[in-house]
Amino acid sequence: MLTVNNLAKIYGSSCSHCLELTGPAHKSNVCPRCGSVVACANISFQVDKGEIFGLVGESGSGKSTLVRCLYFDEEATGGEARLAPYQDGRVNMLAVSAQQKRFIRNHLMGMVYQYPHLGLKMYFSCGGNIAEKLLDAGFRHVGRMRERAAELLQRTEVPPGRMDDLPATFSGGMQQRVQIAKALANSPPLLLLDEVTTGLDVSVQARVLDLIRSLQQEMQLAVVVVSHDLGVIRLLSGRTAVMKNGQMVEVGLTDQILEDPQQPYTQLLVSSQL
Amino acid sequence: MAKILNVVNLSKIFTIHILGGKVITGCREVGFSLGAGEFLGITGPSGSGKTSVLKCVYRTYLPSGGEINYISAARGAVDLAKATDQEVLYLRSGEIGYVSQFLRVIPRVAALDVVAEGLLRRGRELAEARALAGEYLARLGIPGDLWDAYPATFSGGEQQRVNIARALITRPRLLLLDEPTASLDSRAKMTVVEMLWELKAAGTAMIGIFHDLETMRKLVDHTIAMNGGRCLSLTGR
Repeated sequence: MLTVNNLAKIYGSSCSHCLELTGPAHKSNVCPRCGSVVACANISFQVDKGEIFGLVGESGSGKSTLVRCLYFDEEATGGEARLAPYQDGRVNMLAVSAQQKRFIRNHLMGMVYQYPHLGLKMYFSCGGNIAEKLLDAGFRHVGRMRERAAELLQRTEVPPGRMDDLPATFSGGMQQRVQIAKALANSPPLLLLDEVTTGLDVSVQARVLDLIRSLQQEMQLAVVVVSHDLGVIRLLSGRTAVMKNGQMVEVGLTDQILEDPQQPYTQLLVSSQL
Repeated sequence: MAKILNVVNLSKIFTIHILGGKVITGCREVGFSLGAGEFLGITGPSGSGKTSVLKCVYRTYLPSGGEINYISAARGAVDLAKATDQEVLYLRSGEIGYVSQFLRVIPRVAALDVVAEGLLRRGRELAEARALAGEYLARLGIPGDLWDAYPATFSGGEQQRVNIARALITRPRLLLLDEPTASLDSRAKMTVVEMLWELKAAGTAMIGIFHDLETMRKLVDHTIAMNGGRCLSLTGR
């Protein structure tokens, strides 16, 4: 479904030494020559239809930058990403026009951010927020949009009676569920989740995880889950990549990463778990 | 009988980098083969490498050497020691099951849905999957009023029965069992033995680790005894 090859994101002027002088071997993602920050480098992976792929790593390891590049929130510095339903996966979507990127984003991807205010307009009704995504995806009929919004809110367990309320008045867990409803509005084949349960209390966290998993199974979505919480990754993803200093240090089956980590950093990460 | 699993010279060595590269042996040069409907028991003291063998076959551990040749119904011969992660996931979802010592599931999912999950993944209808899950739970003696409760709140024995139901319901071709009856009372143990017998008769090949040799004797065709990571002997029943 999604194939990423050699994706890189560098903040700063960047020089020809940036990639070779940063990464886990150098314990830094700041280039000592030019001071640029290499947020992601040499990132390659694949996610199949119906598969959940996990990305773990400490703060600053580049996980969020990676999904933001895939969702075009940030412009990748280099590399390729192909999405099977876009031009049969023959075209590198990182290099297409802004208009095409908008099309991909509106029709083929959904994104849920850690902070609901990044994904939702807080002073726009909940239904309005979902309608925004539906409009982008080409819906025009108001009645049909309300119907779809109600359907999505019901699916994500937000009382449909609150469709016309403002997300600003909702609890964190409920805002997150509205965000998920919005992300799924266009029935995207690829869903990106950036630390979606971080900051939710545990009872709500379990509900949101269960919701994500059942929706994923039902819709056969390909999902990329970013989390620094190994517990979340263990429950959701089949395969997992571990990131450090902007690079992937290890990729494997999630249970293998957790029980038989190969790389020193992964061993440290896993053995630090509470 | 047609062999479906052939393990040759399997070794698992752990290198613990955070302890200065300390090397720990899981198992060394283990070999055995298994036909459809055959049950292999592994015995040995704690730390002798039994679970390492099982986890290598399931690929929770990455083998350090050797081959794990599995004849898949869908994919033909696959060396599980070298198969890609996606291939392993595919086989796990359709052919290879694992009963762990402890149940670990998403919190706040009802017992019935925990058991039905594997069927849903195989594309069965929700109502049908739930009905069958209920049958398995009932048979294992989990009372109906617990079906919509969360397994995290269950007793050890009840959790283990949910764990067993969850793995058996998919009727895998190869089933790996890590002390499946450890925390069960004798009646539940009998039921589990019965259910394993039925699967075995239908052609499921199994590898099981038991401390309870009594229960094991009722099921196994062959036994390997392990000590210090090595396979000491291979015996028929």
